[in-house]
Amino acid sequence: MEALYANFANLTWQQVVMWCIGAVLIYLAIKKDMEPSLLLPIGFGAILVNLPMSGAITQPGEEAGIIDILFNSGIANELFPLLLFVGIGAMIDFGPLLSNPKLMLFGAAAQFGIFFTLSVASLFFDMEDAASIAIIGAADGPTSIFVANYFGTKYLGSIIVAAYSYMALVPIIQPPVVRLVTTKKERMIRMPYEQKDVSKLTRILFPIITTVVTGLVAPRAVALIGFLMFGNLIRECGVLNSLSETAQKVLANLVTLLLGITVAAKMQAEMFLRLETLLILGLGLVAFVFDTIGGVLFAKFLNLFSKKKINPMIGAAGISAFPMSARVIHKMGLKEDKQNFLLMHTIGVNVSGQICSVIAGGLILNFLG
Amino acid sequence: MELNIERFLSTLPIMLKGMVGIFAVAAVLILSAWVLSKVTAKKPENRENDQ
Repeated sequence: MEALYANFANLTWQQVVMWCIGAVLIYLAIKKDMEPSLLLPIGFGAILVNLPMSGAITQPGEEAGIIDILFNSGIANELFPLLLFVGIGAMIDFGPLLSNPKLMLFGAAAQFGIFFTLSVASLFFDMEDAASIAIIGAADGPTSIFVANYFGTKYLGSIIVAAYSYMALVPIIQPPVVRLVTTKKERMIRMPYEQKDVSKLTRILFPIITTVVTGLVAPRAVALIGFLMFGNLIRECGVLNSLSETAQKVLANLVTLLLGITVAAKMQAEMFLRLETLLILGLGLVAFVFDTIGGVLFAKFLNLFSKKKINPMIGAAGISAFPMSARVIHKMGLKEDKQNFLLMHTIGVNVSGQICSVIAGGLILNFLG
Repeated sequence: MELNIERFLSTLPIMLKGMVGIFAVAAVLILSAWVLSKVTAKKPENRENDQ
């Protein structure tokens, strides 16, 4: 009979707190529809690994737990984030960016939050941890996991939870920040969209050229940018439609499913419930806010010289959260002026943010790796 | 938790180099995309033939 309740004595209050955190993540995923494909598995995983003597993780002197096995075979060697990038690459249409390549400048400017946060985080953390935290500002889950894992940070769980939570909170975080740094007049600037044909050859060569250029500058980012662009090449080549569909749906879904629950390996109470976790959440917010400010201020800077005025709000879409950021900024434009359609511009800026966030991650690995 | 000002100061050149690096790569990609669009653009007579 004692065997039935013996394990109760192993339960700690920290584990109960982790159940609550897991429950909150599941609630946000189901009730608020916030990145449900990731927050739900992460939330459930948080409960799974925080049961006393949980067999899902490796216990001292016992055989390896499945979550640890998945972590070592999928995240520790960076396999899952890279496979996910193939799926993401296959989903992206670079057409709006290729029809107006200058939009890429906003994607570059919107990575400011990463480097700003690196500096702020370095006040509190050592360089490797600061770099891992700063990359939350990439607004890009796989890049965050890849870089944080490369540096072997002990805060991987907190960083991933912060990255995905803030990506889901883009509609709440970005509008007030954009309003703070723009005037109503600026938000009402109209930007007519000129439809331009993008040839198939351009669409095929662009991912190859991007891989080569980025790889030459930031060799450590070759795997990230290479897998992203490989997915895109499968999409654009026109002869691998079946593979493209598989990458977009089956592969992306399968990896997301495993990635979410595997991240929970780093959400054990003793690793997660620290003062540093709160600090990481705060710094993640700083990264998102300064990404947004960087993009908007860069657009305002360009307006000082250009005759054709740019709506500075489009700069805010330069973060990697695709297509959420593009839609949020487009809706903000419509709210100011019902005839102000910014969507094609914001989509172009948003996809450039995808590329630039990987470049930023690669540069951080170059500088500090 | 102590504030490490020295480490903070050492990150400022990284911030500068990082932003310069991203803009440099972006500039090359913009140039590549522009060249590609010019090289692969359909000539007006081809367009008429297509139609």
